[in-house]
Amino acid sequence: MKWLIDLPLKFIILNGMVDIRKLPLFSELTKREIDEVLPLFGRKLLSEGEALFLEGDSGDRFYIVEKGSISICIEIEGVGVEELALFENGDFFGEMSLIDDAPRSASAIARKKSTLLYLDKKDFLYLIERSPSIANKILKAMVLEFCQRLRESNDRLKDYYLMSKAFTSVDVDEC
Amino acid sequence: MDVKEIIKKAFIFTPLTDDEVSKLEGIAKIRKYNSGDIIFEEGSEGGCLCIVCEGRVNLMKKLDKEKETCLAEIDENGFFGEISLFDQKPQIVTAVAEEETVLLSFDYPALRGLLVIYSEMARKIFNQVLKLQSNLLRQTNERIRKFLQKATE
Repeated sequence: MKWLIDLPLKFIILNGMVDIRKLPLFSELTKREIDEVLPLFGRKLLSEGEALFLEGDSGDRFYIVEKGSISICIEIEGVGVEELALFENGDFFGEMSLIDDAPRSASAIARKKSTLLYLDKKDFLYLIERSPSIANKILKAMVLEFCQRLRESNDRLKDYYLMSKAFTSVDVDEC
Repeated sequence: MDVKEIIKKAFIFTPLTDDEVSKLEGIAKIRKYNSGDIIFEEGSEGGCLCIVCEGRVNLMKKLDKEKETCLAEIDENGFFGEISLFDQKPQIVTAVAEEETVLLSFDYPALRGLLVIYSEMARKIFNQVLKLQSNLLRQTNERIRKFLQKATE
């Protein structure tokens, strides 16, 4: 069922949720365009420790953290679980499932009680058909966010190298 | 050299129509590099989106003063330079020609202009870039995974 977000803005903020109208993802949309997009979103509640999806699952949903904290992690054989990212209020993830059919590359687990907004692939495709300019603005915002994540992930590789240089003899070029 | 064919073969531009490809052709420049030439440097402003027509380009990332690592080798039909195209921040890698190399390059201001004017073309390119970026992110994550595994062996 699709239901959102006719609640008054004040109510949303008072409850410690993000004002999704102000998310970078929607920053280029006009108020009217946001009104067109929001009804396409659904809402999902997760309790602490609950898995939203697991690495390898198929996925056709894009998520925004409205409130709470979602850990994106991978299991490394012989090492344990490594957290790749932590998404909190206003962050989004799973955007790839809107445009391709690849399985989830990592697991998503709620660190605490969380509320997520989601958009299904079929609804996004419908949006592209009906309002290409809105879809365009959202895609562009996603690309920008991704640029930022790639920058961070490259720096992370550098951090791991520097950290491990002191302790191990693993050559980063072999990885 | 058939510039249109080169453009069509690059992953970022594969969904474009002939008409859209012609628009790109209008702003494309052919540039030649010798082995060891730097195309753009990590941390530098500006640059260009480049498709490799002949040769090979390595994307290098500095780890500390002495050490750098190759993040990607870009061969024929491959492209690079897309991140700074979109976020307009400094380059995150140094692009070096590994052998005699011919590139088809698109200067950022001209390409950004096309993306603003032709929104359908922009949408197709955003889609392709998201696919690519998500793969890159997966690869980097995979590298981190392997690295952690080796480091704890």
